[in-house]
Amino acid sequence: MAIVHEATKEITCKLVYHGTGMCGKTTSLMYLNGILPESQRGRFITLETPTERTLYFDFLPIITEARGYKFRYLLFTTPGQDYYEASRKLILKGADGMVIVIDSHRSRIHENLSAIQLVEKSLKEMGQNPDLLPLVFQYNKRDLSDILSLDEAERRFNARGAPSFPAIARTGQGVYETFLAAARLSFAKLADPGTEDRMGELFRTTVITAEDDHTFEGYLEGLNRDSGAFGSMLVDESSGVIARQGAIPARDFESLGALLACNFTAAQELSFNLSRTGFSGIVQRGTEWNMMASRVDQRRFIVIFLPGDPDEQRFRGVLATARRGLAASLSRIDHRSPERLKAFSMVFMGAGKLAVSSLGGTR
Amino acid sequence: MSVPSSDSNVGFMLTTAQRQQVIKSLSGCVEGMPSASAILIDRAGRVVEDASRPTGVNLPAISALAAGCYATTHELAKTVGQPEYSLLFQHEDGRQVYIWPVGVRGLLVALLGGVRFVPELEMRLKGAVGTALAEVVAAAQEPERHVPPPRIVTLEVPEEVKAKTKVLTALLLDLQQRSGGKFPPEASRFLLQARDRLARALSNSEWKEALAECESTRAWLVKNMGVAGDAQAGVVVPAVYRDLLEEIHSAVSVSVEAGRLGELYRKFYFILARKWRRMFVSESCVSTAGVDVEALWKAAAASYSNPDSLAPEFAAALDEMIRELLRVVHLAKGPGEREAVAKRLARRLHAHRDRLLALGLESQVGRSWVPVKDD
Repeated sequence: MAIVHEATKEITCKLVYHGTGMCGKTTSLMYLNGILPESQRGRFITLETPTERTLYFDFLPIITEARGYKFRYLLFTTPGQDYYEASRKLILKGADGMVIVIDSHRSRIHENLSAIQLVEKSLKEMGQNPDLLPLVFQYNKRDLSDILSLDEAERRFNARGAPSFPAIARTGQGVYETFLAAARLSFAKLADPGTEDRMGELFRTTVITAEDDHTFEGYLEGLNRDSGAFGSMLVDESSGVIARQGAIPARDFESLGALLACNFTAAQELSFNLSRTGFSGIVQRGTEWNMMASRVDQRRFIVIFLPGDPDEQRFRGVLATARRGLAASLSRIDHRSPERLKAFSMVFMGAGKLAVSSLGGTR
Repeated sequence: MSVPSSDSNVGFMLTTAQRQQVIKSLSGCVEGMPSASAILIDRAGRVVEDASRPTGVNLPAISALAAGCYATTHELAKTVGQPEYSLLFQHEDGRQVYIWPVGVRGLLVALLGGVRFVPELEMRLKGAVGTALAEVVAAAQEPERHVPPPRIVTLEVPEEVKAKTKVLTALLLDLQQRSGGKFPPEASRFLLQARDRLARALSNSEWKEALAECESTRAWLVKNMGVAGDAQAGVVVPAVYRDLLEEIHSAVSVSVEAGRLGELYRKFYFILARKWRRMFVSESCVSTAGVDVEALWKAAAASYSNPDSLAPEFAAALDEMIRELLRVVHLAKGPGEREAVAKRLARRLHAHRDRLLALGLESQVGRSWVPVKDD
């Protein structure tokens, strides 16, 4: 789900790399992280695990500027192993585009097909028509012996006729091209006003005006003042920071937003799996301050940084007021966003295309 | 005897005695707490053992989610400069899910009937029960793991090959953009095969084959996809910028006093030369008459192995010069005039589109000044 900040001219898109286990998703992101200059990327996050497998997600923010607009592409990988099915589908939430990484080895045909079917099933469960989501195939491991021919790969996997790229992620061949194609397609989708109306609710773009920013700041400022919080943030589950106010103890907001979003969605899913009851929030206790996260609406939540445990009764009241106010504002914004988005169609077509081609990747 | 615990994929192996100790400790954690359960998982999210398992739950899902949640919390703590966070999830019905690290290899996931049990559980985990659990986990045997090969292999690709492949990639992406993301089937098929051969040649460091592949693909595109065949960077790029700078020069000439023009160009030259050291290498290329683009190209080309690698940098540098000159128009004549001049420039640029496409430069030229809303 893209977020467009009209006032600050910032556009955030989420691209998800999906595929079977060990097909090269993490390696693709590692390669992009390696070739892009520091000015065009944020911190590459790969969660620490005792194994080589992706535990929950890997994350790489890519940043470009063109014609006064700042474009952020938030790249995520899903975990490939079936064991992680529950967490895998959380990453797909709010994607603006997808790269399906195919392991070209003949022995992996069924795993590849199952990964494609699984992603389609997960998207449908989230109310998203898979055919509307921009998609690019990366036929990886083309340097192995006993691989599928490209004709056969296209026939078996690419029923949609989506753009496809042969790749060898180990050495980086085809990885950058795949990313560029996926980024361009996701912009082309945003530029097409007809598509937005048909997207699932969790996958629609939010357009935030200067006035909306001001409203959010007002609620967050009130929340900070009345609860004694250092700072607070409004975060979208697809990983973008929508608004922030006060002293947030971090500078890297791309990473912070992604981590908070993934943390919150996993906590919610875990709680639901364990108790089948509604989930109201997370408390994380640190040595110097606590972090609390609480749901605002179907897609967003507030994160509050507190010096310690607050007075429970008072805090609940303050939080409820902020949640109500923010939820009402967001509902209005969601209602208006498809119309507002139309005004950006030329920006996406023109500036988006240039932003993608201005990336400094070299091979 | 070493036995796998409840999940054979678990990240550490427990003996029968260790397993019994784990069950005892887990039961001890939630003993006397109504509707409470405790699960031990490894950091990769696989179940080791559980006590008072809640009925009807999907244990693999819970453990994978808990490990994901804990790992993100750990990463969050690093991001906000905290040593570590404990985790507590609150439910609308008052129930709590609590996650606690067990040594460096395990995690305890507890479902509690109410928030009042949290301090009690924390006390037990910091006391004898928690210590015993952590000791068992620390002593558990690691399964054998093979060390995988490094994921990334760095190739020393020669500059010429880099430049050619980059041009080809840009050309293909621009063609794809023009065709709305879809090529005719025969073109898709050809290009997929060609890129496959190129990827393999590059990956095997077969540079001659890679260059030949780039050439043959380009030849095919010239023949079949309407790409201009005679495009040469050394001819097209200077010609495009001569045209653009002529247009902007005429606009600047009416905005600035004639006597100040030379000074203005020199000023921009020196400012931009700090950023584009390899582009602005000859001061004599700027004068009252504007920028001598051909001379500038020749001077810059001296330090480049081939025009394909020079062209994108040259375009970016001169685009910045145009942007600065547009700013002069803006200051002298206002935003309306600036917009009008930018649109005239965009129209001139549009006329060169096909030749730039053939060089893989279509979307790389004009990126810092072309108006967002083109006519």
